[in-house]
Amino acid sequence: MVLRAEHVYLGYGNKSVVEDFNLNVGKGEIVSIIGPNGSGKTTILKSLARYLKPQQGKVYLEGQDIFQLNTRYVARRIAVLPQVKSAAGDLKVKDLIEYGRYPHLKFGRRMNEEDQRIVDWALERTGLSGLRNRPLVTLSGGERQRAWIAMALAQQPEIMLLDEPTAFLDISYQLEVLELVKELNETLGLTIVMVLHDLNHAARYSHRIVAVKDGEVRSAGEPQKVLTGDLLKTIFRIEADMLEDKTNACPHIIPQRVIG
Amino acid sequence: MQRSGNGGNGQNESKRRLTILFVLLAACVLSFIISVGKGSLDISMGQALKAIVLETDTLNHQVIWNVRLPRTLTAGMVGICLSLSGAILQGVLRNPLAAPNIIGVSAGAGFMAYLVLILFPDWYYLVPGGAFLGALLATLAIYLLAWRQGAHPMRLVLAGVAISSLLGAGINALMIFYPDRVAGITSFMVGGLAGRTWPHFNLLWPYATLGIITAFLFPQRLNILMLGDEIATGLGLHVERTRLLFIAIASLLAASAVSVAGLLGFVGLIVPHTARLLIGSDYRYLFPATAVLGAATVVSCDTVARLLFDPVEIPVGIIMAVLGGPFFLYLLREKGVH
Repeated sequence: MVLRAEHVYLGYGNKSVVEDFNLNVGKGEIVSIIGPNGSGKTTILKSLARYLKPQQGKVYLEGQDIFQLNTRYVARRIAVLPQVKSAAGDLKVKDLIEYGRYPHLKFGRRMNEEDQRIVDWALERTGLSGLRNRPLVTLSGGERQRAWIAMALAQQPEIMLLDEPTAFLDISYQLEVLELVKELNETLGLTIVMVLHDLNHAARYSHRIVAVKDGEVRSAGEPQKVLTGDLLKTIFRIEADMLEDKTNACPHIIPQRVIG
Repeated sequence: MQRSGNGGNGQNESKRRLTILFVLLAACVLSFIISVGKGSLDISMGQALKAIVLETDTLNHQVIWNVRLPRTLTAGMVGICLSLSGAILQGVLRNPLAAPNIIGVSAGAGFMAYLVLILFPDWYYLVPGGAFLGALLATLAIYLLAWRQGAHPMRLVLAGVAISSLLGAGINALMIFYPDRVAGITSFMVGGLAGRTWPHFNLLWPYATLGIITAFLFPQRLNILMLGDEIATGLGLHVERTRLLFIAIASLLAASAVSVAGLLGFVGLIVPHTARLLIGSDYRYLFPATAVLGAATVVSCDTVARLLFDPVEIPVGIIMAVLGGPFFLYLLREKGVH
């Protein structure tokens, strides 16, 4: 297990958000966390990213407590893309991606040729080579999200944590970003843990799904196993038709109505 | 600064930035030379150099060495300290309106200066030390109040506003209770450099040096902090530690400047912002640009303050606001910043 959460309790101040969360992520897996608003998905991802310290329990990276490890070392293994990110108005795409090399540079740091080569590679992998000198704010939503992913790639991580990578994107960009994630997983063996809102995206792009509600895991496993009519009723309060997407060999959900 | 199109290639970009840095540096040197040469006694550049380096017993030497040079250097240091402080805070708080007064420096220093001048007027010489201490204590209070599983920028700003208005109330109370003793303090509140000499310079340069070293060593950390706490953590930056370090340095810088020159608050807001409009927000360039522009601004404004109604001197704070405000507005319109 490359990433493991054991009996993790999370909260802000006295407010408890997640209780007794357990997760095992294997190398090369794509794991999606789904759940309704306020269920604790993002909070869980923050603790896996060592941004939020558990009140109890531990998060392990390859068997070692992630909060005990050198944070730069962790940054060379895990890349994180939260929902909240900010960038100065004149920040160029290539400058952003160069920040991805930060955990690899020693003190008195300057980028050498190898770093530059990796930045170029990240640009190329995300199809942004032509946009390298453009300010980030002038890009379309999809291009911008790809630029952040390129920054994460430049970290040369083994694990990538993505919090709703498709948020605020239109349908073609959503697909584009998820296809990129899938491709990176298949070609680089990158382990992915992501929070997704769209259940059909989760069904199609995940090896495993973890469904949470009220800070508890209600179901976990392969998409076919987790995404059932019963689960949608209890977790999302919806009745849905369950179909099968034959092209992609995954369940497909058509929500019909909200249960009172 | 927002630019459309593909903005040229990277080499042109860094060439452009280096050119701007060079121009700013030239402006700084020029303002320095004019400041040393001009005054009640006009001294040409050649004479001035000769008076500094070669002569020891002429009038020129006396005027330059004992009066103008230390004052000009002090003005430059004040400019560097305040504007670097502002540049750091604008990044750490991710707020373009951040300035040293946000972390309580002005209110803390002002309150202590009032306290000393009004309650213990015989100990007036404690004002610089008191102001320095007051500024640092106010920052500390704000930081502690903002702390809740970390010092979030927005909570820092809000705590800063709260503490500043509390100290402002203290200042007003002192003024109401002792209306007869207010006269002496106006110059501290406005900020000025009249009569500043070597001891003031010696008080300042260690902090200015600290600021410059910080700016030289850690620009990339501030760049990364600007991306947001979560991204910065993900990139392997100790966010809280870094933020505390930067706030402490910003506070030291501003406190040292304020204790020498009074509340020249304006510099810390407008100089870094102007530098940002000129050179962009990459701190590797922004720090040097801010430091040089800060020195140039305060030195030249102080020269104007001395010369305009010679022999009567205007506090440099007033000159700075009168010249800086409109210039800044012009830049904002020209560069079309959102």
